[in-house]
Amino acid sequence: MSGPLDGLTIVEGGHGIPAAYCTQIMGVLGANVIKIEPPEGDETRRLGPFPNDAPDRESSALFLYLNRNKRSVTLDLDTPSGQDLFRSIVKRADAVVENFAPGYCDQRNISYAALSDEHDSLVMSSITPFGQNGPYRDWHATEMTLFAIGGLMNIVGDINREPLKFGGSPALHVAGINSFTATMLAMHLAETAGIGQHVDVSVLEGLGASHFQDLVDYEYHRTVIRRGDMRTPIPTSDGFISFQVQAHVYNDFRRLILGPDAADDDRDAASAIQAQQSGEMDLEILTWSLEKTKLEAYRLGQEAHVPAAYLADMSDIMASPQLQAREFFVEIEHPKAGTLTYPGFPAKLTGSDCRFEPAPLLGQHTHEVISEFTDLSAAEIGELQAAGVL
Amino acid sequence: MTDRTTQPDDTSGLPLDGIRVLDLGMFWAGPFAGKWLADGGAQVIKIESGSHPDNLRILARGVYPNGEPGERSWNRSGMINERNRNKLGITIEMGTTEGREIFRRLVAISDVVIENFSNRVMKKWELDYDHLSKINPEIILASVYSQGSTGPESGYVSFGGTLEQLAGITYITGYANEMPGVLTVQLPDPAGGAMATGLILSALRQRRLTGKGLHIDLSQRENVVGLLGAQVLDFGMNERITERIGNRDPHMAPHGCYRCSGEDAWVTLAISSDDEWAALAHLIGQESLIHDDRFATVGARHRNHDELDSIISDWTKDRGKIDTMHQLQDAGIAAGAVYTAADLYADPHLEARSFWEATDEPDAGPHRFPGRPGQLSKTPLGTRLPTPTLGQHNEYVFRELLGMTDDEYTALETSGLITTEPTEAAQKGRL
Repeated sequence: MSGPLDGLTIVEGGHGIPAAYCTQIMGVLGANVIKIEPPEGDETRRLGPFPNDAPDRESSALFLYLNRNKRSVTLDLDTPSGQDLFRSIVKRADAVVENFAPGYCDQRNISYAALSDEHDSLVMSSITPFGQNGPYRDWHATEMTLFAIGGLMNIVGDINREPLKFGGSPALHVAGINSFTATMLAMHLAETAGIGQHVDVSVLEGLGASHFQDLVDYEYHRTVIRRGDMRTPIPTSDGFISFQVQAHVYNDFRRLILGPDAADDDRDAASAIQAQQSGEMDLEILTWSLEKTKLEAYRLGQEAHVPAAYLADMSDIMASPQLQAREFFVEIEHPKAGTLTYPGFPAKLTGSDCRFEPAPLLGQHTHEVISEFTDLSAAEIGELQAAGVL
Repeated sequence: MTDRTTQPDDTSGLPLDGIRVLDLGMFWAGPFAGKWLADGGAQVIKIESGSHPDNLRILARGVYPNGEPGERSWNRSGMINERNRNKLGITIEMGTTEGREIFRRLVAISDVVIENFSNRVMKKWELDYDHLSKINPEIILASVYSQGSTGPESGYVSFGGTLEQLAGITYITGYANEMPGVLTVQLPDPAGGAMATGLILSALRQRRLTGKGLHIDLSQRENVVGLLGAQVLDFGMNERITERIGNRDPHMAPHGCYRCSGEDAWVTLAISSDDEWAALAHLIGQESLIHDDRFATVGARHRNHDELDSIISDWTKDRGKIDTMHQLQDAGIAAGAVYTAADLYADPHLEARSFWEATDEPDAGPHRFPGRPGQLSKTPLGTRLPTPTLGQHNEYVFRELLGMTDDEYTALETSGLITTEPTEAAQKGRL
């Protein structure tokens, strides 16, 4: 088989990152993804970056990455015939993944209730910033505002200055992964028992469920954790590294820095690590690190079983011996954007392959998909195109 | 088929009812995947040992009820109890031949094994996919590796904080033109755990189609680079290395985080159109700026962002962060207060959505923990069981599931292969 999701047909509707990243993952795994775009296209087509910074709706980096392996159908969902066509396509699909604003689908008679009426096993995943109900349902949101309300921004940055968002839009991409997982959970029941359902994914709640320590700290003893002083990485001859020293490797770490003859530290583990974090060995660490490159220091640390990392910028990542050995990056040729290097897929599954086809041009597959999913004739499709519905 | 009346949990009707998962996960990414599957109705058996309990039972960072380790501190650690609900808990000394033999018997009656050890461990134990598939050809092994099973760095160990650096998030996060700081969010863990869960569910589908099990070789580092696809493409398109720009955004302005009244109180706001800019100017009593050349277009607002920041801060600085968030949202502007844990727990929206779930731990008492990103309309997911105490379900799993006799079970206890207490060395943190 080519991929584990071979034979699944997914209809994607909406704008932006979470739904598109969810179905991008499903497409790599073999699903047949049909992306419904408004006539003017998904908003990510207008966001860059673009080759040579020249805006072009067919070559937005964000769009190209998020929409690999999909077919694009343009439909005006504000028209009754556009809505009819959407329903016809969904009738022959297994799942809908959408991130329209709450209420949008109800107003157009393409809600879960409407779509599942004659399709019991349909799974519909609705991904929104705050979920399908509750007082903030209709609030506006971006990566940053959700990172803030989600409680994670509070722990990024320097305590004496403004908290920081993460660079890029990782939180919205994680929402896409969460949606993939929630959708597959519902698909499991749909495929094994014929029971479809509506999946309500909230980006905020995904972030709320992604806290390492501060939520339980508050729940257990009402301590509020905030960001601290910025702990900057350790300089090397050509960049920066850091260590995350745990109790069971603390003495390995001492020998790495102080030399193979360093005696074991017999303090209890927690206080020894605390002392190290508060700077006890800073001078020795610097003496050790400054005469090594970041990759050397990283490797020496890891070979001594100490979790070490180097501060990687995008050029380091593209040049990473590990990522190259895994053949993580893939080249994809796109008719407008040319051949570019993309992230591949983070997992290899025995017995199936990942698929990497370029993102579609706007409306590239409208005719093909409408012919495949409806009984309309070529002439009727032509009329709809002339009327601006397609 | 085991008699349901003897089962500690009722999963009937849930999507994954009937799926059995052996969860060898430690810390976060692995257990996070196990939690998702357990929420979905799988019977997830968390496997630890006296010599190697889940590290978070011991490295609790002082997070105990009321700050007191108390008796059986290993069952009172907040981070263990937050991320292992709905699982059964057993112990097996996996470092021994006899222990691994018991594990193999469990593999024979299970669907999925999850592990997030360094990639040496399962090989050393002869429990890698080649070995497991000989015991049970339908088994799915999900390896939530740091960097995958292959390649020069595949044996390296990591945590969320080191992966944030290795995968590029740390480099692009920070104040403009300043050094970045080491991050403590550890987003790679929940992101890797969620991806592993989706892949396990995909693998179950592949198994239904082929009749064969499979190995999921997941690299958490790659999973995080996958969150930065546009930045990867930008490097190839424009030879551009994404740099730190604080809280600014290439497409929106103003876009920032502003001080409010109160200790360390902040609100974020993001303006994505001229209409929203007009709404903001109106709200802060600066209508005259709407058509001001310095701010009339998004390009102009980008060029004069510093000035704009001080105008906005002047308005926010004497206001409460929550009120300001509501006022901005009422005006149609994307805004969010910077929430602390206390704010999250007090939030009326999350309350109205029943986000928090009550548990009652045998040794830690009642608490409320976060729910999950997705709610299912026909098969609502909830907290059926609290996180198991160490070895809590030894008896059920070994006697009911594996059919051990009284004598066999007693022999396991006597030999120390199973236990409900960490070894003395483990309790001291020398795992």
